[in-house]
Amino acid sequence: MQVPYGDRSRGAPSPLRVETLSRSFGGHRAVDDVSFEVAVGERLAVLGPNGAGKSTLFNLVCGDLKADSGRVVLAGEDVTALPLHHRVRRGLARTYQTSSVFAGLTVSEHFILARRGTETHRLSLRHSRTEHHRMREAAAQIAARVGLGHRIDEIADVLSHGERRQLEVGMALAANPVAILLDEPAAGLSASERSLLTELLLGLDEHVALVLVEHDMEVALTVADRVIVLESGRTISSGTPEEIEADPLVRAVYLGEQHGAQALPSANSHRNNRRD
Amino acid sequence: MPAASRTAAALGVAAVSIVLVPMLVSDFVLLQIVIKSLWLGIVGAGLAFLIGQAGILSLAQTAVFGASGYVMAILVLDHGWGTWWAVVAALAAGPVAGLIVGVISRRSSGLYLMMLTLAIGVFVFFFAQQYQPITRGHTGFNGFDAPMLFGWDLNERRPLFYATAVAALAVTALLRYVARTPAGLAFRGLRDNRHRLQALGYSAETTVVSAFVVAGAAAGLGGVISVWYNGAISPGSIDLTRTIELLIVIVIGGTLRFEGAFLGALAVTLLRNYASDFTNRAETLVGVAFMAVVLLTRHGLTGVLIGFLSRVRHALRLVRGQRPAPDQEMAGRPVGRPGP
Repeated sequence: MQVPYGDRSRGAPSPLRVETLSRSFGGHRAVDDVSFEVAVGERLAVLGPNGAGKSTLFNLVCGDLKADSGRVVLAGEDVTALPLHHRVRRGLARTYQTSSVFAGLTVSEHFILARRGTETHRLSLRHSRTEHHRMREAAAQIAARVGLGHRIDEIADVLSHGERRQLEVGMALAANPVAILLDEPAAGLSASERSLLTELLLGLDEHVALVLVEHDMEVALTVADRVIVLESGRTISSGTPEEIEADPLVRAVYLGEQHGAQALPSANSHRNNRRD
Repeated sequence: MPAASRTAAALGVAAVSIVLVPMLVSDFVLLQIVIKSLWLGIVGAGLAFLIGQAGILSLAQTAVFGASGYVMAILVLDHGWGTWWAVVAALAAGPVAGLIVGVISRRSSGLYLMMLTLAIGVFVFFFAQQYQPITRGHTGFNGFDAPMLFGWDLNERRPLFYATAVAALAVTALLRYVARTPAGLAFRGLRDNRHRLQALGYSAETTVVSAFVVAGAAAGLGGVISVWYNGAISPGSIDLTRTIELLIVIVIGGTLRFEGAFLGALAVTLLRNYASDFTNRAETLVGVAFMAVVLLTRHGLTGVLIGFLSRVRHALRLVRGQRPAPDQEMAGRPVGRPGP
């Protein structure tokens, strides 16, 4: 199968390239020879039924799991051997499928923590008032972008499920990454929260590359420029949202089984409100 | 009240207390209760910081405290160092010992970290007890004379009280400062979600080691003052009962704020001294008090005090006819969660 590489014409190394990544658990190949590349500003959606290996793929890319074989190249640098926190410092940000937040920290502190994580003074024992104000202001901007502006001084413990999802996305944005991996950001969100999230993703900085695992087809097909479909750990299809939608294999394996053909949303109908 | 004027008010209260306390209490109380609680509180504040801010439940803090006390005693009594040079070395020994404990336990957390630090604590105790050439074995060091400071003899009660009170303020200021730095925020991130902290670019291991170094600084200062206070240090000063005593101090005080350690130290010291006046089961009483605090309060005496103060504030607002404002006292604190 042809490897679905993105647009290479811009010259700069691609923010994120994944080459023939594999990982087995016992005899089960959770991720089997998966490759993809995202270009600057590109939005890639990874679709697939439950157990297709989407989350495992994310864990391999960000370093939560070690790959059996294959390479992860971040902005031209091979990071396959680096642990999670070193990949993050080089510009990779991710969110987790089940919200993973700091119960005792305020919304603002989450964003400050995320921003400092990629800077060298992250463990500094010096308090600077100007730096603190700068951080507070940056955090307030992020909070406003993800719709948490009114909750900025609340601790995460008191936030609702939807607000914690927004907090996750906000932490990813606060780190100023070159590539963001979002693991089902719409999971468990209400319809209105989903449309807020879609709007947020469409309005992202156009230089940041986005890889999105999403069960919610509406969000995925609206946001994505390109889609790859996983099944049993393998890439079975790739292309534009329209091509994916039309692919009979995908309909049979994923959409047909999961939602029934009539539940398949039309990509075109969601593309009317796209940014371009 | 804005933060700056609050700090000024707290410093004012502290200054007045430092002047008034020696005049108001007897020499016995000053020595046996006040000074003892202060240095125990200094060590406790370091551990409360480690537990409450960084979520690290270390049982090696007594060993860190002992390392600093032993360094001072050994340098002065066996190597003839000037006392103040030995104090400097002992103050450095605290963070260095913290660093070593931190490096050893940097990969573990929770129960495993407890067991690992317990092992370190027991190792240091047996080292002190059995490595006679350096530590003088189980008798340890006796007859240590506290130094002179600005013409005051720190072997005297009042000068020792002033020095200890200033040290307690210094430790409080240091820990409060650290809590506001980037490292302080990372500590709280470590406490709440170690893995997520790494997913934000932090090395959890470096963060753990840093927290141990900070807590080691407090333990080091406490170690110096305890040797001045006791005039001695021996394996008995750092054995397992001392570790447990320190934990009782922390639990009774509460870890919501590390300052609670001073409250816990005062409570334990009072119980130890006065319970024996009317019962020969003083230790049982300490145990009962410990259980009562664990069962009846969520954040120890600090939690009770903060709850009481916020109720008073609420009542005052009602009396003045103001609309009761949401209480800011607990903002930013994990009050919804049970204490460690």
